[in-house]
Amino acid sequence: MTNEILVVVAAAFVFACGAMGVVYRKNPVAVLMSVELMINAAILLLILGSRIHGNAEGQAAGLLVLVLGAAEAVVGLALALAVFRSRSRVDVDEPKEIAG
Amino acid sequence: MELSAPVAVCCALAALSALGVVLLRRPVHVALGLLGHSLSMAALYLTLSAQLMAVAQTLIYSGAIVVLFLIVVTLLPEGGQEKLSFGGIFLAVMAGAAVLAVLGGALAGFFAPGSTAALPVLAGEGPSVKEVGKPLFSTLVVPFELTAPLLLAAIVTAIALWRRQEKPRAGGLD
Repeated sequence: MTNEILVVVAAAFVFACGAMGVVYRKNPVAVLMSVELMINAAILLLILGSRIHGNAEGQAAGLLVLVLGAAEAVVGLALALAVFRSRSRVDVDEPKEIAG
Repeated sequence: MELSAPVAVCCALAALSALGVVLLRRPVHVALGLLGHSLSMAALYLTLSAQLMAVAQTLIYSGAIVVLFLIVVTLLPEGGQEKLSFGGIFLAVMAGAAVLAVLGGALAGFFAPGSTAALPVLAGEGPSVKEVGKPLFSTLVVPFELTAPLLLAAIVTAIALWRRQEKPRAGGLD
């Protein structure tokens, strides 16, 4: 096994962990952290591709994805605080007023 | 490039801390798991000679985002403790296994006996910081400029969501 394949396998594992966390976590903060895991796995693959092909655009795109992740966390956390601050329990399945 | 110890150690740390983020119960421990994960990812970027991304990951993720998560954990009722159900855990294991199976199927070519599939490797150093900066101002200039309104919209949204929760004060603006 080479370094590159190990990194690809690690990225796949981290992405699967994030997907699992999004499905079963009840705490909105933990759900957002799982989303961050998936974003990190995607950035890792962008950087690996940039290294393999010797092309700087992958790293530049990775930087942009990093900023996207930060913006997503800000809005998600504000939403979580607005919905759950006044409740006694923290459970993303509970609030009925935001159901579609 | 043959398997080297730094890459293997960083990959193992990243995978372990990702498991910690998913499996730990207390939100503060989860945030610490995310901190360890982002730091090991930054180290992994260094081994892939992506120095700029390593610095950005450390500053933005380990510095800003993890602190933001910790602040929100302190503001949530009961510190955000959650009650998990067995049905949910079963669903989660199924979802994780399904994602792993799909990604593993995509990667199966690398592990088949006698396969010639391999990721070609470029010798020498990766792109320098100067080379990374160039596409940001040429081919990727539109997405790069769009990050500014995106961040502004995120800030305005966060403030608007929070102000809606506050009760209006009797004395007006003072």
